[in-house]
Amino acid sequence: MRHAAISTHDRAQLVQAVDRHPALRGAAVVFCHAGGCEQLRGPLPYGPKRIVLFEVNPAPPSPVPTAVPPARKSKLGWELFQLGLNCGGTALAAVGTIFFSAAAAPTGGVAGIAAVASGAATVAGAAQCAASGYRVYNEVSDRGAANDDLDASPAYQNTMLALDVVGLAGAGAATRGASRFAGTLAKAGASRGGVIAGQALSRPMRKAITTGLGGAGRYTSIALSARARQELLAVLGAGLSLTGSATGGATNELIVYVAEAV
Amino acid sequence: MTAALPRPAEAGAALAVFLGQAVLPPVALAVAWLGLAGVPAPFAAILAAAAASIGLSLPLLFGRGFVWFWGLLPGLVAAAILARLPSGVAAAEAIFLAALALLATGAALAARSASLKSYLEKRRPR
Repeated sequence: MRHAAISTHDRAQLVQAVDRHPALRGAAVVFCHAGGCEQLRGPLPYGPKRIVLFEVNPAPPSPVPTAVPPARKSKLGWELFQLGLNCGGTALAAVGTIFFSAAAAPTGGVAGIAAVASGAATVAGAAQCAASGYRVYNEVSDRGAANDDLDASPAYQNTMLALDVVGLAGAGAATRGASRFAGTLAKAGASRGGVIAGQALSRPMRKAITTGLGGAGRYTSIALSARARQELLAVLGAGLSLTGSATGGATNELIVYVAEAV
Repeated sequence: MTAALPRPAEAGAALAVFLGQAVLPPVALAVAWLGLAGVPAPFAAILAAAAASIGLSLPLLFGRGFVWFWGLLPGLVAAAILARLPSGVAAAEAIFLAALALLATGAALAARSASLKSYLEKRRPR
């Protein structure tokens, strides 16, 4: 019958314990445990015949080290947060692209540049939104370890960094455009909040703003109000993009300068 | 300056169709891949699918390009879900798949809406 083997150290200790008793010194030692017996030492010519030791209270089995890794803690909440930032920012950037591309035709100049920058940021954001959807799906399908592998992959990190940089460039363009527009309004003496709310502007104000934006003639108050709302949307999208980068992307690794001559 | 600007409903329809076309195909690929291969899709495949679908959808934001056949997106998502279901899904994944199907349906409805037609009509070069 198979039984757990006794260690060499324990074997020596048992034999020494027997030999410490003068009457038992030199006897053969048999140790019985775990349902089996094993001879620890053969009989010596001068000692008694045989001593049999029984283990009365077997020691509890030693814990066997297992190869099971600790359970992975789900990051679903975090992935959903990132999904919201990426897809929300993309939606705002896409709205900006829709309006800027519509405005670019009659006004050209600033709106055209903003449409291109906003379009690039929309592309980068949409790719990040799709990647976030993939990561969320990995979490809900109990394959979250695949996300950990991605996070450890240099190729994935570089791809995300590149997308972040494009998105941040778009955010920078949106911020600069909004800054320039706000500056033009301020120079003409118009209130930003009032223009966003649809306040009617005087003719000299509209003329000054139109000239400041590089246009000809005099834009209507409705047109300027629409433009102000587009700028607001673009800045909100830029804010989401920057938040997404700050919490999980490139802003941790890059210093972004947004410089504008006033 | 305002003549060519889309109304909010038109911009919303264009946005819904763009986001649906750009984001849902790569996610549907991830679902189908897990269903058929039993492992998560490689990120390179997801990125390639995203690049293709975004590239085909981006002109929509500029009032150009074509809108996909309205039934394509729900069809893609339904096929992916059918490929995944036989392996068995947990509650959280079932909710995710249901949301995916709803989003695909929403994008298909937006693609057939009068608002999108009006948006494309306004942006058509004359």
